[in-house]
Amino acid sequence: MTASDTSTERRGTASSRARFGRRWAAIGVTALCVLGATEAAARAVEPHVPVPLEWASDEIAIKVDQMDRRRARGQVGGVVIAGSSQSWGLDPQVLIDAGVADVAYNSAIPSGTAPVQRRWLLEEVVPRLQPDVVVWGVSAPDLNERRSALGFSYAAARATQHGVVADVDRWLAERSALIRLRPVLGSAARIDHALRAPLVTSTNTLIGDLGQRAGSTEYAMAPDDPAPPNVGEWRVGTTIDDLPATVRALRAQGIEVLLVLLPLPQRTIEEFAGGGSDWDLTIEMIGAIAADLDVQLLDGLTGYSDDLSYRDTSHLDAEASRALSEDIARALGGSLPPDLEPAVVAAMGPDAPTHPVRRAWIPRPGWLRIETAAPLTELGGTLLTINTMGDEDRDRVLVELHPRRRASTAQHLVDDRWERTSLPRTLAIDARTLDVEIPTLADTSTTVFRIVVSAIPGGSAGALRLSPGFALDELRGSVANTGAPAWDLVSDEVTPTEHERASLRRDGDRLVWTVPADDWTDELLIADLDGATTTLTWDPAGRTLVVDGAGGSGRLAPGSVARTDTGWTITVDIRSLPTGELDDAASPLTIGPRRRLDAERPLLAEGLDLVLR
Amino acid sequence: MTFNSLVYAAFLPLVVGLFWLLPHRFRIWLILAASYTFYGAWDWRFLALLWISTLADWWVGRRLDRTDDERRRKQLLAVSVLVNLGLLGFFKYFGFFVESAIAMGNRAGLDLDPFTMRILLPVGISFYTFQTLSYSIDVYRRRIPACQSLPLFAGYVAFFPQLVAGPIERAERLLPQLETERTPPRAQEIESALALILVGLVKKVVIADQLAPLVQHVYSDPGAFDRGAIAAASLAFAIQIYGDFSGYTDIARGSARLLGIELMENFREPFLARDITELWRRWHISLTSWLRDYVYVPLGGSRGSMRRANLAVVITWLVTGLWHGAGLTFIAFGLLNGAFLVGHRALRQRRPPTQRTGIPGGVQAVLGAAVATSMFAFSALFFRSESFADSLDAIGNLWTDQGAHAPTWTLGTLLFGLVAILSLDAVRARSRRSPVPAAPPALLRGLAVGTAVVAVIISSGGPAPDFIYFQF
Repeated sequence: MTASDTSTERRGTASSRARFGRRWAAIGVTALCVLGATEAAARAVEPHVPVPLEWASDEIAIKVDQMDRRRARGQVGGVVIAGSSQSWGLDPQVLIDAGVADVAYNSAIPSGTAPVQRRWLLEEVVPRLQPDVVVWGVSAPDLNERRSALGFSYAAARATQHGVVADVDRWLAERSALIRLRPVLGSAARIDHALRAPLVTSTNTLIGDLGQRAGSTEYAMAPDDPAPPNVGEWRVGTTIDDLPATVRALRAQGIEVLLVLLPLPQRTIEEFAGGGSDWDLTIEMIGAIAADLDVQLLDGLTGYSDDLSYRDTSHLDAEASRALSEDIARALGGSLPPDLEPAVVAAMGPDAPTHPVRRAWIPRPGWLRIETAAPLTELGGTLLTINTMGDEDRDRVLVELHPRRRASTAQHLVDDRWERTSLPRTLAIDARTLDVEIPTLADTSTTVFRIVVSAIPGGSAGALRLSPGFALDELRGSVANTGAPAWDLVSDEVTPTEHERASLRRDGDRLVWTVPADDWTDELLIADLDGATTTLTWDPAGRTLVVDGAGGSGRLAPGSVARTDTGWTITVDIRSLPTGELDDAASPLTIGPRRRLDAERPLLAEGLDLVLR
Repeated sequence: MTFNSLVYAAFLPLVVGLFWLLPHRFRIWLILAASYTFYGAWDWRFLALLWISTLADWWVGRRLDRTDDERRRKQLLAVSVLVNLGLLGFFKYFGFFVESAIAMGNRAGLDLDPFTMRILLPVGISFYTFQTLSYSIDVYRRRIPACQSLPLFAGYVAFFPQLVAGPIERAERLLPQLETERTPPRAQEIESALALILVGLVKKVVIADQLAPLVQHVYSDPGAFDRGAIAAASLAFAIQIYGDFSGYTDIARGSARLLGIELMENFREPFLARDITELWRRWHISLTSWLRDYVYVPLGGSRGSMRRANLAVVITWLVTGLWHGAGLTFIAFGLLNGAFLVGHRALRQRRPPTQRTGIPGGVQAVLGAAVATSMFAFSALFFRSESFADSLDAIGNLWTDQGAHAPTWTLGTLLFGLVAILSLDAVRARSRRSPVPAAPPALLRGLAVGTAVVAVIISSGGPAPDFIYFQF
């Protein structure tokens, strides 16, 4: 190769580099233009798409907001309830009423396994609420390493990500709509949700002011409800290590811990690996950890093997939750030794003055007559169980009846196998007497019965009465926790008319709730504000709330109203609403499209707690 | 450390920069250090397995090179086969066999205690064991000389771009590239390497990961969904796994190209294939060619009678299924595809491709691609199902059309995935057909880069989901 060749080659290389330099610059500039244009487009559509969640779920976001507000009001210290299953119904008010704490809050988040609870408690709850005591309800599923759905999304949420990359992401999210809206724009389901304007509400995010889920009042587990999927796949793994680690970390901060063993229905337990042996192993391990740490452990297992104590295949119903809450209160108050058998699900027989069952007897073979203290129509959620005693060490449910469903089904345990039976003549409702035909009573040799009637006085039967403005065929939804269509449960025969609560009508793009009764207290109202510019107008004098979506997409679903004082919840999903006149509204309050949870605080002054989903 | 993580975004430029700064003799050490760091980021304990496989085959290769005694050579080859398949068998199939034995014992009336021996599957074990095994077989067959340098051989086994999910490179192709001094890539090569990486990211993050929720939604309980939902989810899974796996390969090839090393193509637009046989020739080429060379051909290949050739096909596909994992679902996946290929061969013999059908070529190609992709998607139903019972439920509902409809967003997501993946493949197929592939104009490429970056930004954000083939 000559010097001339080398020189030519160098010139060629230099020329090639310059050419590629120009090309790459052009590529870079064009790509930046695309990014810039997309950023501008993202800013333009931002008011019209749902606000992306910073946290893993609505419920977590709501609880963070509630805890921030509690902290701002100085409601710190006291007792904090933690765990996963506890989110359903364990009521902090019980602890306050029992005098064991001035301040109590239910910080439980559903599906939270021990690693999630560890982060949630230590990074979010404790710094905000600085509790004196943490009551941590632990259940076997919380310790299964394969149950990681929330773990994944919890760690993935922008607010909870760790590290430099997460810090950069948060920094960018504050400045770029494209980054900020990434969770929405990148999800087909969310875009679909936004486009279709589904007027769907969910009871999942009905969170009371003390962090408890509203609407845990109904018995809902149907006889053929399947156990949670994949229970048999769950395995206790290293996730259990997070339990003692969290307890130690809490104690290091001077926080006392009460562990509560949370129960599961027998049908779910049997789905665990080894026909329940994995469950037993988990319970033993929790006991060993508690003993090792010398931490108080309340056995919440005994007394809840009865399926009728559950609202679904994982969670206790309101009655049982309240009973367990009372146990916790006693344990915290020192009146209940940890090893004492917890309270029974419901009081039994005529000796229990507060119980709705006055007495029960067998008037003739095959029939059971129950006399109740209150009219049956007021006993929302009435259930009947008859448990044989003595066959095994656990109660066995023979019959379940659902008076409000006119006893269309019942189930019998025959040779350890559930059999569903149709009982057309079973039920007769006459004021305060319930006659039930139970064929097994005619020929059974069982002589000892335990009769439990779980009932919720003033319960949801009354609450289900909707105003005449509601046309039933326009409802598409369900009553909270029952999973049954609303119209199945709304019946003039079982529902007193004086229980009218609220009405809803549509006025153009506005949805108007009217609360006519004087005894109405608005403890919680939830509106889905998926749209952009939205005006909420609350008129205390007229007791109307107007949700106006005219300025934006109008995708509003104010379908949930909860009254926590009597423990009932209505949730309706509405596709088309009746039209009508709208009263003049006062005190308009505008919720801007970019405002987050704290933007709704002014409503608190009116006695409303509005939660933006 | 995964390709779709920001850690890798920092790792790769660092390795590439150091690689070109270092003199040639140190580069193999850098590759080794980088590869072991890359692999150890999952679980450093599994490095021991990688070393066992590396040392065993390096030793076997050298011994094979030194002896002409056929018996001795067979023994040495057996050592390699035992070590590699032993590792693979223990870590991949032990649990399956134990559980099956217990189930059978219990069925026979024996009260066997179920015990769970927790065996974690080392990432990429199926890939590197097959790679080292192919080396020993090739040395045994005297197709290549044994590698005398341990660092070089270790670099061949552990080369990080293709360590955990292929392509399964043959020694005759990769070893010389690692051995000889590489020249720094030219600007055009750098551009093409970066383009490959970006396209790979789009396939993985924008297409595959977007389809994953739909697939997961239906396949978490396939018995609960109707025909449309299962068909949509199966097609979505076919696209998902293609986007995921070919995306990985693209990133691997782009990463290697930045180091001056060319890895083989693992996919050649399989969903544009005209029939199922061609589809499989274009799918996971490094594995299918491995199985062709080391299983199918030794079984007789297509040399014998039709019946024997068909048997060889079925056995090869049984091995393909088992390579993916122990379980009836993978066996069914393999056998079904074997049956498809046998059936297609019989069909071709009855009516050769040259025979005129009267249908225009373009229409025939589209129809053929649709049928082949549908057959693949149907077999993927077994692949994706979490149990054999689930796959039977899904097939039952395909037949009876019982169950719930797919979520409303299914169709849009599926259409997006289908159009996106076919568009990318069509562009690549077109450039492949061009006699002199030319880089697209800067403006066009800039638009494509900008769009791809935006798409990746929108589609990412949380922890990077693993590539599907890491589990194999």
